[in-house]
Amino acid sequence: MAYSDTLLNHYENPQNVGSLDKADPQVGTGLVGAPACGDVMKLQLKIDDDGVILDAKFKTFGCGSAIASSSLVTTMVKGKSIDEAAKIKNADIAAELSLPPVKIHCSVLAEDAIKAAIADYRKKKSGQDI
Amino acid sequence: MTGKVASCWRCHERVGGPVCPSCGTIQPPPVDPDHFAVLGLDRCWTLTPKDVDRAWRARSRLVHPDRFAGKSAVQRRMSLQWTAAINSARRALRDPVARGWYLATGRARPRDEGGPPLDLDFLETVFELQVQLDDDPDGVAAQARALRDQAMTDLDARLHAWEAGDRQAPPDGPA
Repeated sequence: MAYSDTLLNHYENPQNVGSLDKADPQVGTGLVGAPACGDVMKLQLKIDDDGVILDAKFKTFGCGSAIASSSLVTTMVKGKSIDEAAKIKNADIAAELSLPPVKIHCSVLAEDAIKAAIADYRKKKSGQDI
Repeated sequence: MTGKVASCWRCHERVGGPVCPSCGTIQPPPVDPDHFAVLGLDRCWTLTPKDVDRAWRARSRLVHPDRFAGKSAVQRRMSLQWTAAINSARRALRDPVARGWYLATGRARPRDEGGPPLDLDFLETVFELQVQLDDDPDGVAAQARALRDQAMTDLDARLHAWEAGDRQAPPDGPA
């Protein structure tokens, strides 16, 4: 069974690898992991005051599908509002990369990472407002 | 052996295992089984998976349903019950962590369903280790070896204390 070209492209040339300043109030950090396979995925989103995602960075330790899923996610969320980004489903990621069934959990992890990053950003914001 | 010596339910001769040595009749499986006793093992942490497998195989030969295919419905049922009991015992004792869990709690460790939920501190530790591993694999390997050696030393100390009679579960053992 062969992996799709989209997946291989993201794996071989991952987009937006790196990190943003965790302490920046505009940055939300999502760190998620899969107990079954040991993958850890860190996704950081820089979000402006209108709730638009200006930048996204990731660092993932895991299999090719996990790396491709997180790379794809960074390209998908840039320019979107956090509400739109929060609607991205693992099925969208899996379909875009044509993930085989045994790798679906990688896309689940990527979806969780978006949600965790947004939640972290919102927590920071609500802390500021009080 | 299962420890207690009882008498066979059919021929009333003395029997200490799953099968009566006098008449070959399978005995009822223990009601509230100790996993060690079911496999004829002493309660002991220091077993290898091979020891457990060997005990399981020996028991399996005695109680296997094929041996009782031509026997009464009662004996066929007991054979199945014994088989289930030895399989559970093997599952509970084969893995050293599971075996420790069972010794410490008296219950078989729950079957792994993807592991416990991961908390953020743990994830951060894993992430940091991965970053270090990228930067300095030899350093991390040395760190891991030191941790392993320390863990083995602690384990030996606890095992000695435990086997010397201090059989209380360690304070930070499984609840």
